[in-house]
This record gives sequence, C-alpha cells and structure tokens, in this order.
Amino acid sequence: MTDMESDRISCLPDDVIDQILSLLPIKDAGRTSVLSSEWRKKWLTLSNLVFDSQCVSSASSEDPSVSKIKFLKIIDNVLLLHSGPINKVKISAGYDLIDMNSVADIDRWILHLTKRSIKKLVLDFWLDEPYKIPWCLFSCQSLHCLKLYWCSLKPPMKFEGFRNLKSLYLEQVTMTQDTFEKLISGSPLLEKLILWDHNGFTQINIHAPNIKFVQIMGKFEDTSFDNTLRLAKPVVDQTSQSKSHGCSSNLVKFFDHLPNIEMLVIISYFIKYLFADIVPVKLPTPCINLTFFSICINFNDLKEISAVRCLLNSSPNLQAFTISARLEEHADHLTPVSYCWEDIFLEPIIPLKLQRVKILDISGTKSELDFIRFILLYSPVLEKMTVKPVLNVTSELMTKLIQFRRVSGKAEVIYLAKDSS
Amino acid sequence: MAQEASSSTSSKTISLKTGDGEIFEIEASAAKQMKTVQRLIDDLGDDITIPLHNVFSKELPKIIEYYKKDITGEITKDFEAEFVKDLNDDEVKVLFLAANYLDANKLFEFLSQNIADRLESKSVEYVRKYFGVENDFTPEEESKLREERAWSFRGIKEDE
Repeated sequence: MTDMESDRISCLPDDVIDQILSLLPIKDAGRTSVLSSEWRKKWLTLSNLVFDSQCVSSASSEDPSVSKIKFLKIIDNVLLLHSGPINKVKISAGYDLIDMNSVADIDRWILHLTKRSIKKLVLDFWLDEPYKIPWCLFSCQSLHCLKLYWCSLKPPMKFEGFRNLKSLYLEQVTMTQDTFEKLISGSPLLEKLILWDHNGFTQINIHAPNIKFVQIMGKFEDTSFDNTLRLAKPVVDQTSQSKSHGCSSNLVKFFDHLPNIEMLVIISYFIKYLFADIVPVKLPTPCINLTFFSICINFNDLKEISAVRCLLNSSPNLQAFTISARLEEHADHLTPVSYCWEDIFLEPIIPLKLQRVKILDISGTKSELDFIRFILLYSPVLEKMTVKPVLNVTSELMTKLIQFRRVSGKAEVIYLAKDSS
Repeated sequence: MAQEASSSTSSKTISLKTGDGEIFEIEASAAKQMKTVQRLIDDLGDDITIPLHNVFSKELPKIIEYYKKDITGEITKDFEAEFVKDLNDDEVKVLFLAANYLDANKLFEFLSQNIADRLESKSVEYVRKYFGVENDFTPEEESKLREERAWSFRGIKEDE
C-alpha cells in the first residue's frame, strides 16, 4: 500500500463516522467510549437506542436473575448518561430479561423518555399480563410513532390524543371503546394504523383526515370510516362474524368515505358484513382508483358471489384481483347450491380490464368453476389466471378449466398443484 | 451554458478520469445517482472527461458495477451480499470513502451498514486502527473506563 493510500484510509470524516456509529448495536457503541478522549462521549449522543438481547451476552450457565439485573442496569446506565434528544427507543426482550418485577423500572424509563422528546417508542415484551402503560406517556406530545405489544391503555380523563402521532401499531392491546375513539380522533396527523387482535372494543370507527394506510385484523362488530378521503389501501380482516347483521347499507357507508381507494384487501368475514343487506348491482359511486383487491369469499353463498360482481361492476379501472375460497364453520358447504347461471353470472355492466387474477383454495365445486368460467368469458384483456386448489383435486379440474371459452386471445391459465408454491 | 438537449438520450455515456489517470465510462443515468459527478457534468458539460481526483482505478470499477445494477432495478439482498463478500475491511472502507466523495447515497448507506456489521464485536484496538483514532488515555484512565463499561466488553476478544 502506498503512503498516499494509507493516509486516505485513516481519514474518515466525522460525520461519516457518526453515520456508522449510529448503526452499531448499543453494546458495540458503548465500547467506542474507550477509543480516545474525543470518543468518550460520542456514543452518548446517538439518538436511536435499541435495547434487546444483543446487549446482554450471558453464559448459558448464568442465573437468569443475573441476566435480568444486567439488562436493567444497562438501560439505566445508558439512559442516565445519554445527552441530547432521543429519537427512537426500542425495548424488545423475552421473559428471560424482562418480567413482572421489571414493571416499576419500565415505568421509570418511560417517564424519563417522555422528558427527552422521544419521537418513536417500541415496547415489545410479553409479561404475565398486559403491561399497563403509565399515565406520563399519554401526555407525551413529541411522539410520532408508537408501536405497542401486549399492553393495556387506560389514560387519565384529560387524555385527548397525540397531536403529532403519524403511525400507530397496536398488537394485542387492550383499551375501552372510549379510549380508542379518543386516540384516533385526537391524533389528527395519523397516517398509518395497524391493529392486530385488539381487546376491549368492538366498533372500529376511523375518523382520521390524514389516514393513508389501515390494517385491521381481529374481531369487531362494526366499522366505519369517516372523513377518510386519503385512505387508499385499507386491509380488513374480520376474524369472526358480526352479531349485528341488520346494519343498513354497511356497504355504501364503507365505500362512500373511501373515494380514493386504490387497493382493497378484505380477509375472512368482512365481506359478509359489508354486504349484509341486499347486494346492489353496482355501488352508487364507482371506485375509479381501485386497481386491485384481495378478498375471501364463500362460493356457496350466492350473495357473496353477487358481492364480487358488484365490486367488478363498480371498479372501471380494476386490473387484478385475488380471491380465496373460504370454508364456512357451519358445514353447509357440503350441500351443493342450485342456481341458474343466467341469474347469478350476468354479464358485467362495464367492460372489465382485468389483466391478472388469482383464485385460491378452491375445491372444484360448481359455483367455483362457474365463477372461473365467468371471468374467462368476460375479460377481454386477461393475461394470466392462476388457480390453486386447496386439496390435490384431480386433474379433471384442470381439464375443465382448459376447456372454458376465453375471450382474451392471450389469456394463460396456470394451475398450481398442491406442492408448488 | 453551451449545452444542447443532451439529457434526451439515456444511452449517453460519460467519461470519468480517476486520480491515477485511468478513464472509465458510465451511463448518464448512473452518473445521475452520483451527485458529485452530476454537479461536475452540470458545470463542465457532458462531453468532457470528468476528473475525479479522490477516486482511483482500484475502486471505481466496483462502484460502476453497483450502479449498473441499480439502474436496471436489480439490486437485491443477494446481490449486495455477493458484492462485499470478497472484500476485506480496508477495501470496504476505501469504497465507502469513495461513495462519500461521489455523494452516491444508495451505495453509501449500504456500505455504512456493512461496515457497522463488520465492526460488531471487534476489539477496541481494531476499531481504533480502522477509524484512525489515536489513543490519548493513560493506562489507568483506560482501565477505569473499561471497568465502567464492563457490560459492553462481555464476550469480546481483545487482540493484545
């Protein structure tokens, strides 16, 4: 190596070094304090802190209570010595590092962080019971992003939401209906909401003018979107049937507030809820931006098939869809449904622009095959249809599919046997 | 500025001259990803060979290779792993410095993560040498500090 090269190598500019330092795990960053006097405090100004099992490397023979104490001390140490604003903190640990005895410490850390203008907080640990979020967090208005697992939220009466919150992820979190409403309506900048397996409330009312992305997976009775003009990609997975079927025009309500919907993902029972009433031929307002949807339907329920037709008739720019067949819990799926093709599979009222479709988990029933035939018949620009059976249904199915008339000259029908992905 | 509508052709190539006098060609669209190069093009025109005083013939081809893949949108995790697989820590540092000089953001970010990954669990001495840091602690000061940070030294083999 020439002199010139070795000089170059040792000269990493400061800002570049800071960049690398910010990507090191806490443990390695801590060691840099020994490099030189100039480096002693560098690592304490890092603004993203991740406390996880990497911080503590313990011998397998070590007493678990010792590891817990170590973990605690490290977090205490770092938070105490740290100077400057703290952007992000993530505490992610298993029961070997955080248990019910740590609750008072966790409360203390959160209190400390609220005073350091924390922007993003991730609490990922699983105690015996959901961790009760301390009241101090509810008045922390510096939060932009909150990600909570297995917690319970019981804010004080004066709680009105998080003014600056943009992204909210809640997994197995418990709160009352009232708290949920306050949370959503009191966080006007909210753009992204993900709810997994929530507890304690059954109405999902999303009143959020800036929301762009919603994903809901869990049990709920009713859902409404209000003033959600920007919502382009809702993902809704209702894991059990609504008890209330009588709600009038759930459907119109749903789509009315989502004029900019580009992509729709509906899983499990939600479609049944949406189309609880009489299924219209088409929606009152077409979804002109909807280019893709993915839904689960029960092919034995003719109403649900009509629901798909309604969606097709209302989405003039739809390019692709994925439909998975859903088996009902109550086994009436064994009795074949009788109907007239002309009644159920009416020609679409608008030309379909479908290019790619996927039909998954089918068992080869008449209504499933008729649906496939319907799509092939009325999709003039179809390029690819992928069909995947749930059981290794015989090749008879494949033969039937190939025989269906395709109106699109270049349509390719791909049949995935059980073992292929 | 005496420039014609040269931005229309995407197949246009730009000539780059390294600090040790070698010339390499890159596509104009790749040059756009290196802000320093783009600035020089804007000032000097795209028909002139662009001089890069601080980048040398050892590392420039590798950088060009990266951005060739980038403009076709083919950069995957596998490609990135392959890209750095046979490089030693110093070679990565040289590339990283070049990416910094060229203001080539994507490569810069990828390499900073790679360097951080390589430095994980390395000894203090190693990191000192890597960053070119001179140790100005007395032995007593250093050992006291090491004690204070004992938790961060667990499991690390120091090279003596």
